[in-house]
Parts: sequence; C-alpha cells; structure tokens
Amino acid sequence: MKYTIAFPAGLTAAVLLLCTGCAATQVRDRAYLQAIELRSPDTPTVLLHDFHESKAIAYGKGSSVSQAVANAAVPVGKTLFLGHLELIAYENPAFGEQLDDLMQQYRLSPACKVACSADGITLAQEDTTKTVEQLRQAEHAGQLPETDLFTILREWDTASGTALVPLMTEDGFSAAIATKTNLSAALSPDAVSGLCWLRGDNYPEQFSTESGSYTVSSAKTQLSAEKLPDGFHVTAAIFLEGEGDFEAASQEITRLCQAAFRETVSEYHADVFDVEPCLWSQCYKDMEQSDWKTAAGQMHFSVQVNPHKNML
Amino acid sequence: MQQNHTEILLQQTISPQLSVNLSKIRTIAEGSSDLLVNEFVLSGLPAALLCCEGMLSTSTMTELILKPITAIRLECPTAANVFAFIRNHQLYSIDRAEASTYADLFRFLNSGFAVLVLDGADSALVFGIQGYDKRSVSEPSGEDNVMGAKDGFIEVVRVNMSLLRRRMKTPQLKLELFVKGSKSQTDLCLCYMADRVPQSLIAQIKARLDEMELESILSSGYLQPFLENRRGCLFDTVGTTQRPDVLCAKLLEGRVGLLIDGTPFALVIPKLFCESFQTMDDYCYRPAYATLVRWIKYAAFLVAVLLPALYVAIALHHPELLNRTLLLILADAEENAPISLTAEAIGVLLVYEIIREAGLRLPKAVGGAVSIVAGLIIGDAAVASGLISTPMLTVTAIAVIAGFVVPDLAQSITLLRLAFLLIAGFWGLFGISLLGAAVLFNLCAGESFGFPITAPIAPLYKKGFRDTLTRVSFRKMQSGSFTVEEYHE
Amino acid sequence: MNKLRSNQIFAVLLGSAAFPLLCRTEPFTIEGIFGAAIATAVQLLLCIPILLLYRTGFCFGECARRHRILPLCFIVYLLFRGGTSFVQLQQTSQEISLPFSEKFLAAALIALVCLYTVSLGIQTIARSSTMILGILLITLAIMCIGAIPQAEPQNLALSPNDTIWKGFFRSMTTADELPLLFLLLDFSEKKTYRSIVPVWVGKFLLGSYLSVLGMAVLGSRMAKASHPFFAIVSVSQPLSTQRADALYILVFVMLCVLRITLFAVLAAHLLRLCFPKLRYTSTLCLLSMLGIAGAASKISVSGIWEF
Repeated sequence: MKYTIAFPAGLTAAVLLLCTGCAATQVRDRAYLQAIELRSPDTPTVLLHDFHESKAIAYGKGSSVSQAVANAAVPVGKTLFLGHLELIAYENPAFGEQLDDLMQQYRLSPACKVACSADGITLAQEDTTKTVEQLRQAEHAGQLPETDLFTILREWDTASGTALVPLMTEDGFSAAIATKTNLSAALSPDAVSGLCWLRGDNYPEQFSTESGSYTVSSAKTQLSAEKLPDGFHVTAAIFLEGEGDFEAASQEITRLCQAAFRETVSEYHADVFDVEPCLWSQCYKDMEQSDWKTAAGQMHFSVQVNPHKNML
Repeated sequence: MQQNHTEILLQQTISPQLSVNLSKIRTIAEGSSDLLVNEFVLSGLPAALLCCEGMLSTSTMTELILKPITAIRLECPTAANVFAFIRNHQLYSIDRAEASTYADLFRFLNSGFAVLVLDGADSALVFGIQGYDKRSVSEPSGEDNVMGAKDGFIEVVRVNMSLLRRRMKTPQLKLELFVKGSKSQTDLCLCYMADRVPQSLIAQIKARLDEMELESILSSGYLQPFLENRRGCLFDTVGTTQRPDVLCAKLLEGRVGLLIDGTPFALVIPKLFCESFQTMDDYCYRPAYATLVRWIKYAAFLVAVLLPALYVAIALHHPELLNRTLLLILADAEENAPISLTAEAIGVLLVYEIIREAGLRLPKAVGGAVSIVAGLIIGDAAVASGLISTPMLTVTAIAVIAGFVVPDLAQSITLLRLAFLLIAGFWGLFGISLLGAAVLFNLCAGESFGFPITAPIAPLYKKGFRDTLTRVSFRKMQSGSFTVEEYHE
Repeated sequence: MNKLRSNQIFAVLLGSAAFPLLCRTEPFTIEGIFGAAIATAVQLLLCIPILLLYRTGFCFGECARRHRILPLCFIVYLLFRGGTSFVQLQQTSQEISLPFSEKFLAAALIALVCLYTVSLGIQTIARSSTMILGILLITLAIMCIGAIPQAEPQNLALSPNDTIWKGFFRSMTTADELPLLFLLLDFSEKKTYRSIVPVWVGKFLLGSYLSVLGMAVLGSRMAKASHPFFAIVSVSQPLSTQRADALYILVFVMLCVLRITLFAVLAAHLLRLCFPKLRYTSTLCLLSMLGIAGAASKISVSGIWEF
C-alpha cells in the first residue's frame, strides 16, 4: 500500500523539482559581450560590443547602469552574458563607483581590462578586438603597467583610494591616477615606465639607455621602508639581470622610478605600487599613529638597482 | 498430478527388481526420446545399460563398457558380487559412482554418465564417459589482453576446474563441487585457497547459496543477486571473469571463486571497486607504464561518466568557465540547433545506446552495414543538417570511447552518464555535485560479505596503494603476502 | 554496530570542520590565526577528559539508555548545528552561481540527498569522508595555483579591526569537534587516539592556509568580501578561464552533505536510543533542521547565525 502512494508521490515531486531548472538559457539565446562602454553618468548609456562585430552592436539608456544594460539587451534580442567581458571603457571618471557593483552583479572576470577615454577617443570609433589586443600588447611590452578590474578595485579599497587606470589617448595608451569619481591628468611616459618597474608585474624586454640599449632577461622589485625622524624612507630595490651597460641601465631605471614617485605619491598622494601595505608590514607601530596622507607627505624615496644574483 | 507422481518416483530408492526399475525409469522419462536402454545378460543376470543419447560417445561406451562387461563370467553370480567384481576388478572409467535413488540416477544420466542397473541390486553403477559436444578452450571475448594468456573458461565446469588446477598445482587449492537448481541440477564449483581464504567467508557464501531456491541456473546472473549484500548499490560487489589466470590471482588473495556449469563466467567474491581498473596486462608491463595506464583508466572512467554532463552544465549554466575561443566555437556550433542542449545530448546518447545494442544483436554479416549507416547518418548527415552540433558529437564520442576503457563498469557508466546529464541540464554544476555526493555515498556503502568495496581508499590502507594508485614492481609486491582479509571490517 | 577506525574519525571531523570555514563571513586576519592557534590548544586540552573517560570503559550508548537527559541535550545541540549549517548554506549559496532563484531550493535539494545518505549509516559517512577530504585537498591545491600569481605578500599585515581575543572567541564558538568526538568515540572499536591531535591541527592548518592566501590575494578587499573564501576563488584563475569559482561548488556541496548527514545520523542514532519505537528518525531530524533554518530566516537574528 505504501509503495502505491510513495512511488507516484516521489515521481511527482521529482518531476516538479526537475522542472525548476527548465528555464535554463540556451547557448544560442545568449549574446556574449566582449566590451562595454559607459557614457554620461547622469543618464547612463551603455554601448555593447560583441566578439563578432568590430563596432558596437547596440546601446541602451537607463536611470542606472544596470537598467541601461537591460535596455541594451532589447535591440540585441538575446540575454546578455558579460562573464567574458574583456574591456570596460568609460569616459567619465564618475563611473568608477559603478565598477564594483558591475563586477558583483554580472560576475565579471577579475581579469577584465578597464580603460578611461581621453581626448574624445571612444570604443565606438575603434575596432574593439584591436583595442583590447593593443592594450594587452602594451602591457606585455612593458609600456603600460599591468592592471585589471580586480587590481583597480583592490587599489581603490586602500587608504589612498587611488588606482592606476589605463587611458586611451590619440597617441595610444597612457595611464592616469583615478579615484572612484575623479581622474588625474595623464602621467608622463617616464612615470608610466617607472611604474612598470615599481609595480613589478611586467618589465620591458628592452629599453634605451644613454649608452645604447639594455635587454632585460629577468627582474624583481622589492619595497622596503623604515621610519626615520624626517619621515618614512621607502627604498625600491630592483634586481636586474640582462645584457647591456648595467650602470647606464641602473641610472635610467632610477630616473624613471623617481619620475613615477614624483607624479604619483608626491603630487597626488596616490599609492599605485603598494607603498602603504609595505609601510604597514614594516613600520606597523608608526603607521598606527599616522595615516597615509601624512606619511605620503613626508615620504622619501630612493631606488637601488642591483644585479640579480645579489637578490636575497 | 503427473508432475507430482514423477517427483514422488524420483525420491524413491532403486528397486532390486530390474523390470520394476525399468518400468519406473521409463515412466519418469516418459516423452523423452533421448533415453537409450540396452538390456542384456550380465553373467547370467538380467541387466540394463542406460544412457542419454548425444551426451556420450557410443563408440566409447561400446569399447570401454559393453564389450568388457558382456565378457564377465562369474561362478555363482549374484547382484552383489557382480557389482563388487566390476567395482574392484574392472576399471571402465576413472569417474565412477553409485546411484541409490531415481533422482541421483537421472542426474547422472542427464550429465552424460552411463548407468548400469542389475536385477537384484538396489543401486546402480554409473560410469563417467561423457562425450557431449563442447566448445574448445579459446580466448575469452570481452577480456582481451595483449600479454596475458589466451585461454578462457568454457561452459563445462570440469574443464574450467582443470584450467585452474593446471595453474595452481598446490593441494591448498580446493574445488568443491555441489549441485543447485531444483530443475536444472546445475553443477557449481566453489574454489578457494584453504590457507588464504577466511573461513567465515566460505561459511557465509555456502549459507547464502543454501538459502537460494532457484529452479534453474542458466547463467552467472542468476546467482549474483543472491551473493550481493546490498540492494540498490550501483556497482557490482560480486565480480565476474572469463579468465582462469585472473581467477587464480584472485584466489591467491584469499577470495572465493564460483564456477557454474553452463556458463563461461566465474564469479569472484569479494569484488572491490578498484579491481574494475585492473587487468592482467598491468602485471606484464613495467611498473611506470602500468601506473600510467592505471591512471588513464581512472581518468577515462570520470570522463565517461561526467564529460557530457560537464559540457551541458558549463555551456548552459557556467559559460564563464570556458575560455573565449572555446566558447565562441560552441556558440557558433549551437547557433542553429533546433532543440535544447540537454535534449540534444540525451538524444545522441540514446542513439548511441541503440546502435550499440543493435551491433550486439545483429548477425555478424549485417554488422558492418549498421556501422556504415550509423556513422553516415549520425556522424555526417545529422551534423550537416544542423540537428546535432559537432562539439556535442565530439564530446559524446569521447565519453563513449572512454567508457570502453573500463568494460567492467559499462552498466554503471551508462546509467550514471544519463543521470548526470539530466541533472546537469537542470541544475548545472550544483546538480552534478549533488548527484556526485549521492553516488559517492552509494559507492562507499557497498559491501561484499563485510569487505567494503572502496578499500583500500576508504577505509584507508596505505599498503593497498601499491596496486591501486600505482603498480609497484613484483619485488615489492611479493614482500608481505597480501590477502583480502586485511580489508575486512 | 559498525566500528570506526581512528583515521576515519579524523576524516569525518576534519571534513565537517571544513564546511564552516568555506561559509565564513568574517575577514581572515593574522590576529584570527593566532586566536585560532590558542583555541586549538584549548580544545586539545579539553579533549583529555573525554579520552580519559573512554579509556575507563565508558559506553555512551549504555549511559544514554539510563539517563535520557544526556542524549536529549546532544540531540538538541546536533539539530541546532544542523539547522545553522542549512542557514550557512543558504547564505553562501547567494555567493555562488546557482542556476535557480527560488529561495530554499538549495537547502531542500541538499536535504533530499541527505535523506538518502543518512539511511546508509555512520560507516558510509566515515568511508566517504576520506574521499571528500581528498577532493578538498585537490581543490585547495588548485586554488593555490590560481591564487599565487595574484598574491601580494605585503598584504600580510596586522588588522586594525581584529584582535587575538576576538579570533579566539570566534574559533571556540564555531568549533563543534569536541561534542562530535564524544559521540564518535562510542563507535570506535579500539579507543585509539592517534587521530585526535591531527584533527585540530588539520583544522588549524586549513584555516591558516585560507587566511594567509586570502589576505595575500584580497588585501584591502577582504573587508568588503561577504564570503572571503569565495572572494578568493573568484579571483584565483588556475588556467586561462575567465572565472573558475563555479568549480568550487563541487567541494562546497560535498562538505555540506557530509556535515549535515553526520549531524542527522548522530541525532537519529541518539533518538533511537532514547525512543526505540520511534520510526523515521532520520526524516524527523532533517525536517527539524530545516525547520530551525526556516525559523532563523524568519527571525533574522543574524548575529546568532554568525556561529
């Protein structure tokens, strides 16, 4: 008796449960986006770029970025999938506040690139795939510090509240210091190159020195800090191995790093190469009694370039 | 009514009167045309030689029994001293016995023995001169090996026993014959190494077999359910093998084998899950290569069960797991697919199962045509027409081929593959994880007479890893003789 | 009654302890590591009386039959812990990408699977915990491979918002290994204690590993992460895949099933000891746990459920 009741009941329950998953979006019903562009923070406008078309395939407006994205899906005619987004471009720095919500809501890849538009350069005028590849290549060649969505969001969560954001300009790519709502002027090429050395994620394979060129085979950067009566002294130790005039290379790297420090920490009190974590880990007691702004104002910076075999 | 009368007659003892005997025998065998009764005079006493046509060689019977037996001339012959003379002085065959009831008589008769009944004797002498047609010992199908032996069990239990005895000449190898099946009277042979096997295991198996009330035993599958401990386990807890070398290896580990007359498959108790991935070839290769092949088999099992489900789950619910190029290929391929991905996957798998079953049942001559039709229709036309996408076909093909690597688990793989596919289509990786947890628990619950089938992984026996996770050299394996009793809980 | 071996008890306890670490909502800190170390030492000291008690030949089953209050207390505790596990599951499932939006469906499906796994007995849990532990170790290795490129050692700094005492208190309130050990030792044939020390050491090492990795990878984002473990895996990409965090659903579900099944099996066993004629004890226990989880969602006493 109990089996005559239990079996149909169990079967019905199983069917009902299984049906809860029947609404899965099919592969053909999704549009896979390669890049999005955000414009006009007052009335957010989103331009969508997919992997097949070189230009935008649709745009949408709304009272918020999420609504704009949802409205942009209508002309596309498919559900939007942003999990493979490779680039977020925005012209107005005020959109920086929205990036965290975008990442959570649409489960964006943490490796998604972010770029600000300058000089009126927008993705709408560019081939999206080419733009993304150019950005990657610039990072690979050590012309632009490596950064991505997660790195930017992590840097914004530090005490300085600043991050390094790539900038699309007429001459290619540069970098700027960005907060969640603001953007500085573009950094000089020397500062950008110096940040590549200081951040330690990507080094140039080759760079020019006074006596020729230097080919880098390996490099490593270590920051150290100590508190002295006149303020915090931060030293960037760069261990270098390669072919060329080491002394000339050392001078060039020092010059670039000093430029980077000047245009970031000194000028904007921006921490874009993990100085603050270094201070906290090596001068904890002093940092407890101070704050980043004060420390940055009193900071002294030096660079030591050593041959790689001297690395501890 | 007549059946009851026959049953009653069978239980009766053999009558001393030949005429009564023959009458009862003919009554029991009424309707059977293969019973041959040769009446003659044996040393002045009426006698009869019975046999079953086709079960023995008539020329052998004539040369070995009829000619010598008709030449017997005893002074003062009685049934007792004629039988004593034949028993002690005349060796007509190696295999001789006596039947005291009609049931025993017919069992011997139907087993190919020649039966001698004599007027005045209350028993019958039986002579084992079987000569029925049997298959020759050949390479087993389905358990091929590259470097192992090429002989396999056949349908005659005594030949199978000899195949074992030839390999294991120690007297510790015990081969106990007994009969099961009220109608079929099938010979079963319990094989074990007396110095290795746990005695409690033998006792439990015998008790389990005694509880059986089967009318006939026509294949190993009839016995397996009675020997498996747990109903609902997805994986076998009783193994089968067609290879005598494999069975010998198992017996040396303290397991019990069961040979069944009429089927070339021997049962092995207990069976562990990891044995499904072991073949005789593993022990012929070098340890490093054998270890690599072993891990390929583990990976193949997971691929066979999970690949279609993972494909569907990732494509439908978690496309962020794929890299960009793969995702775009998938999206392009599925662009024009008319049905959902889940339905497509299930359809392809079911079609494969139909083709596989058709290939098994078709005559060999037609099998080739089926392959061509299946390949052309499924592989080419369906893809070209857009009914099925190429990635789906590729994934299914890989999963199917991976399943062939572990033929021992074919049934479980087929069922699990479909179940995982269905649940992946509805609930993605979450569903796969849920079902995976349930299957894992089901596997861990499997026990074979107190031996957990997941040993030596769970419970953990590090010593067992030398032939599970790796295959160490025989120098190491022979140190510390291993028996399966170590895994008993 | 099936007997458990010492390494099986280890695997069961460690597997059960791993699930709350995955569901943790508080940030990982260095102070938390130190606090956990002290909590580990304290728990090791507290387990000595339990071991000594069992060495004297104590049998919990017999004691439970004579004094019902003791098993009843354990039953309430186990049901409460099982209910909180469902709550943790529900809260954490918002972090992972589940292909359905219905509330409580994840808990209902897990309960359905647990209904089956509970029927298989404690021995099956013990065996499967060994395999689940293996899956966990493989997952942690994959996580490490993906997280190392993102790790910044300079992020390993003391936290201004946490203290060692808070870390200690947190570890002690979330620990349930002692009561589970007390019950599981009753299933052990030989009262061997080789497994005891590795359990807490293993839990501490696991927590420390996640803490160090989390701090190094997430840095300042740790404070914003609602579930640090899933925040770590969302940024740890072992291959060139875009987001590999969906893969961790496997180990999450396995550990959840193991933990809830363990609580349900033990609670059902104790119920049968107290009320031998009671039927469907496993179902009753699971339904009670679901009821507690449902009540918790209504009451929304989130502070309690931080346990």
